[in-house]
Amino acid sequence: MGVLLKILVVAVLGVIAQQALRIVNSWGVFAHYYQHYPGPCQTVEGVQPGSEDFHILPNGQALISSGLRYEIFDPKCKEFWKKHGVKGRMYLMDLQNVQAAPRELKITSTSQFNADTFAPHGISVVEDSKQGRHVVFVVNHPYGDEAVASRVEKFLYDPLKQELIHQTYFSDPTMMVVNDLQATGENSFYFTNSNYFTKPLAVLLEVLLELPLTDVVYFDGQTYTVVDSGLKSPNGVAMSPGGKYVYVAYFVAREIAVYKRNEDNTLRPVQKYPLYGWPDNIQVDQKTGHLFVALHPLAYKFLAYTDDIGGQTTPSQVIQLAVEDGLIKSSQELFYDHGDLISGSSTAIVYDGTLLVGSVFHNLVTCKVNVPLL
Amino acid sequence: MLSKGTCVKIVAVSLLAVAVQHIARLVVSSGIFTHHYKHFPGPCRKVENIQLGSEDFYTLPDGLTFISSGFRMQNMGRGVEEHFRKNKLEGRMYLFDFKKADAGVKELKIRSTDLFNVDTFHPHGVGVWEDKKAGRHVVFVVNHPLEEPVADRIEKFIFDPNKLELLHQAYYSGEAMKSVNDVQPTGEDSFYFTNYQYFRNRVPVTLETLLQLRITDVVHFDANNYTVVADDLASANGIAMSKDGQYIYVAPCLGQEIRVFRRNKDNSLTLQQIFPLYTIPDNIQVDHTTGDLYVGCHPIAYKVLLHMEEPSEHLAPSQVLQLRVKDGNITSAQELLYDHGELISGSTSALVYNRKLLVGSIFHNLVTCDVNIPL
Repeated sequence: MGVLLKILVVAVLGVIAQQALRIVNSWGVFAHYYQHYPGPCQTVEGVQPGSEDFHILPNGQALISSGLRYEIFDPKCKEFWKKHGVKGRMYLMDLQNVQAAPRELKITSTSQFNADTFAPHGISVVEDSKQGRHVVFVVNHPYGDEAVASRVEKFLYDPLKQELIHQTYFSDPTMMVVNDLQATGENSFYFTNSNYFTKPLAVLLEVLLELPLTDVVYFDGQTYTVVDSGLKSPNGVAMSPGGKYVYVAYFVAREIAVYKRNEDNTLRPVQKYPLYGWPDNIQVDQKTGHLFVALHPLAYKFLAYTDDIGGQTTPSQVIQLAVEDGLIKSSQELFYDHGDLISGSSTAIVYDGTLLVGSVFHNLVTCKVNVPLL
Repeated sequence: MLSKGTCVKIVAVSLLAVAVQHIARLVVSSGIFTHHYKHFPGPCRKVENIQLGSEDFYTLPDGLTFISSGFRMQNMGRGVEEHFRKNKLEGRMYLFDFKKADAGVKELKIRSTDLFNVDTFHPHGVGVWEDKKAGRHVVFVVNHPLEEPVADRIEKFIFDPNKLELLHQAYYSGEAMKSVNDVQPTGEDSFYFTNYQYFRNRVPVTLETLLQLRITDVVHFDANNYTVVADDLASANGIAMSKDGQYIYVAPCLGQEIRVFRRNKDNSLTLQQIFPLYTIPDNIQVDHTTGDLYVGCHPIAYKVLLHMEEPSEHLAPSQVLQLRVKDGNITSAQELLYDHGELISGSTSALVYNRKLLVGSIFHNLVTCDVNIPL
């Protein structure tokens, strides 16, 4: 009996040790990368820190969500946001004239929406090709709540007044800590819950122990349906140009999942493509269907950075994934920076020879792309 | 007072802890947890009219480049033998011109003499000395002649540009030459060279590699004597000199670092800097205008080891690093190229000249790329 117990204890310890090593390795502790750029790069002037997500409109204008901030963050971070006057803003940037400073869109409060506590996260747009009055969905975590709250705001973009007019908002118990969303119509969208817990210590444990507690949800205009669950932090979500495939970036699981979209909008997993860093948002090239993913290559650095965004840096990485018939075939690294030019890249795209890289709390960067794309 | 039994237990556990820690470090540095993505500085293509293998090259200020091809060492095993037989490889030297980068290479004529047998010639590192007085180029090549008894030599040739020939002049050998890797000339009859393995036989060499022992060295020959000028190096591989002759750069490949030495008047070396790389560096080339270094590297150790066992069966990733240099010191690193091994396996040597990147490899392709990114 004594010997059996000893064997069991050693076996359990062995499993724990192996899992611990795997998790520590996935934080990037053993990894070392070199910087490189696809061409000359520069930071975009005239925008506040933070450009977590963006959407490229057909005329080459980027609609950028800026001002993500959380009340639960360390006081050093709140100091940083206060110092830079960070608030929820949406910018419009012309990718065909990157030297021109982006324009800030007008957003006014309504009885349903408070522009002062607006802290925008993921964004998705339903384009209006006739009049340019696009429908803009934005994930919002109203700043000031003790625990992180999530709602989805719906705006109408007025191109003449350069204004986002608030229409309505969506809120539901299926919204945990919402990260990104992908619109499928003017009143329907997929969204990702990247964290189950909303208090800092619990979130840290959820991430460190890789607890599979989160999910992907579909809203069809009436009901909310969980379309995949038991997941390790789905983050960015995007759709193929024809709407047949849905791509989800799994932060903690470190992979891109490719789903085939069924008639009823449920998802059928068809591929898991491993990445060796923590992927954030996915942008889809509308002409080729190829994907651009921004990652946090060294998770331990990103975690330390989120504790002191004014004083720490964390590397940024952009990968291009070549897609064929919806499936990911190969990858190439377009950009790697140690964090001095841009820390914590969260979203990127190559449009007409220009790479645009946004970050969670830091700079917005453009580069000329002088290397061959996949 | 501790009992003898307890003392023994303490010593045993401590030794075990040291061993476990070393094994853990070895496992991590083997590259099994390492993953990189491919990327290129511009369009790349393989150079067609050259046999497989281009372990080292040396470029003159005008862009003329001498490439050594057909590297193999004595006792390398059946996989290498098979690779040479299948691809009809022989020890050859080629000429490449950066100013005509798309024109491919030209093979240099080399003939046997009573001092030199071209049939057993297997070139490794190469270094060229410009003899400005006599208006000629002296080409030094490390040779592992496939003959008994096993002994490495450094061959000295004079380059005849009209006949595109390397005329053998003399050879150097001696006890100071163990497993020689690369050579850096300092005169028409003097040079530094690196010994990259201390032992010759398979078992001791395997141990030397696994334990990452720092028992290799850099030696200087001054036309008369051999002097060890640097030791405490884990597998000294590539060696290069700054264009003003003031600094010597050495790549102790298992040390995963570049060492910068200041060169003294008597050719002795003083260690100035150890720049850590997290990859296995092979040869070093120095940029003719900026003094920056270009290093061909093996980013995943176990893959290059497999590739060296069976070159025709296993691919190994290739990586080119640019190291920026200021006052002899390396200040930063940038990765210019990463390939999983399909375009080029086992990159050893690289240089950017006139916005063209040339990359050589142990047993695989020679590649050129346009460099369209900021350097």
